[in-house]
Amino acid sequence: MRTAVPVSCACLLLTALPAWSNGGGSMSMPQRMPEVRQQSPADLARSAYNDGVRYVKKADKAQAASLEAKDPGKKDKQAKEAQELYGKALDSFRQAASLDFTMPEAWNYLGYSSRKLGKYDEALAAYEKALSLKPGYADALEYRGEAFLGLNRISDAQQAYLDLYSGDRGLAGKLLGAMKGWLATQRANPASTAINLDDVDKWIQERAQIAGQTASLTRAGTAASWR
Amino acid sequence: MLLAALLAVAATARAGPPAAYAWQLPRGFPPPAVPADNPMSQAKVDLGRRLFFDPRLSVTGRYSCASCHQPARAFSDGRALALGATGATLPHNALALVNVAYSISLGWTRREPRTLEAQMLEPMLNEHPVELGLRGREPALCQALAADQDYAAGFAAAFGEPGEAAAGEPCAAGAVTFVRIVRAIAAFERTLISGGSAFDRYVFRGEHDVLPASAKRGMALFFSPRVGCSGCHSGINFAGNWRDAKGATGAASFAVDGTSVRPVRVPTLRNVALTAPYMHDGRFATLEAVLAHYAQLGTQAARGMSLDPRLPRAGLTADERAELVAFLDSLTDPAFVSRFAAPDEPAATAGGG
Repeated sequence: MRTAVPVSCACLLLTALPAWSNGGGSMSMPQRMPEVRQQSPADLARSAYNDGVRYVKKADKAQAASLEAKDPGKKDKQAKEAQELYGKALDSFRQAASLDFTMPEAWNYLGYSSRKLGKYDEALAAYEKALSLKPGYADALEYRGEAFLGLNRISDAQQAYLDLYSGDRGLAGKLLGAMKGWLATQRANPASTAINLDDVDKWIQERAQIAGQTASLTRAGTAASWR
Repeated sequence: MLLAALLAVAATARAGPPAAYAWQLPRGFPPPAVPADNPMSQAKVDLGRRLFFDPRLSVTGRYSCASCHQPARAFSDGRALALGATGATLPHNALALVNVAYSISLGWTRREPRTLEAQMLEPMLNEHPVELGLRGREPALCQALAADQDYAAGFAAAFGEPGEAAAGEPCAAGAVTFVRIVRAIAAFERTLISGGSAFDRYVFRGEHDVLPASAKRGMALFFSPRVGCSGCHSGINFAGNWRDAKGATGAASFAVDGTSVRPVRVPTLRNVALTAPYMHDGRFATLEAVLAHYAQLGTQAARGMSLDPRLPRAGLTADERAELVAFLDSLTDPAFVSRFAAPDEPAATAGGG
């Protein structure tokens, strides 16, 4: 998950609107409150969103612990905890999105939480909403690509990669890594899909090669070559 | 100097707020940088396009910007050294205007000028040698354009109704002023964006079968540390550092490339197959000759020439040269060349004055 910013005092508000981070982390809230007043729906949405981000961070941590655990009992316990936390996060993001329908970050994380719970159709709908509110939203493009993988929609995941590649090579690389993971899983259970895995493997390898070769065409790559 | 300053500060208050310009950018291309005092508009681009191809913008009435920057040659001219309107030989090869909107500075050997508006004054007004030869003819030019109803309407649409000419304006007639002529052409030149080559389709659109195997091998060589072409020809325009709406990636890229003791600009390689002859003095007629030059640079370096450290020191086999040429061919964007053809452009001839 992207880096989240610590939140303080979500109960009182300034008149000036706080901004939230582009990456979809927590939204900043005012540190000092000159007066007390009623919270608006947008304020409540931000508060719910920030609750959701906290749940997601805990859930991601539990999921990572589950994947690393050797003991089956511990693995299972951590996995269940992760699912419970993703469920709480999903509730928070649903609340945030219902309070402020125009908050792309809430829709993006609604998609993320849904995907982590295996609710891929709901996840895709949420990502679509996020992208309609914020065209080119790289985080949503990447998460949507991973949702496509969850549904074995490989050509859609490949298109998501290409959409990301021209604007955010870092996230494109992350999605390519997820595609490699998907491929490894499918290789382990070859009967589970009718997709030609060799074709997918060839595509992934060619994209990795292109990305490596053309790194000098990026902004950072160009600056490095002329430093 | 006064005119350059005027270009930098001339008020455009008479023009209404420009409508947001919709760039038609290929995948992977960022929005170009645009000077604050010359915002883009479709009306200005349309006007600039017409001016770019108009031979009235020369002392002979037979030469235009497009005489040295021909669309079919990716806006270069096919000559080793460019020719001015009166037939004078210019010091350098005409640079292709491909993706010139992303250039940090313009010209083969200097780091100035840094805007298209400032650069354009040189071909328009230079006298030694004469390029377009407009110095002293500015009032006649403005009068001629103002008398043309289409132009008068075009200037009014692009810049607003006429007002008093700003101090230092070489000419003003109705809505036509010299500064506006320059700005309109610059706006058009910023639209000369090429990103639809087979390479772009392969890399950005995922059409993995569009490049032949030889071009893919050439691409691997081009970007390899051993051959190292991309050490200099990096960036979205294969011309090193660039500038876009976010700013510049660094200083303009120049290198001592073995053809001069002085650093020369790293030119774009997009559409390079169309821009022969090559180098700042047009000394090489083919890409094969350019590659042969770079392949023997190790010998030159041994003789003590101080070459750019990014330049390749490795030799190339005949097969490798052919593969590199196949890759460079894949940088041609056919749609770019045809998109800007001027159907009513008269044949341009030098020295006919």
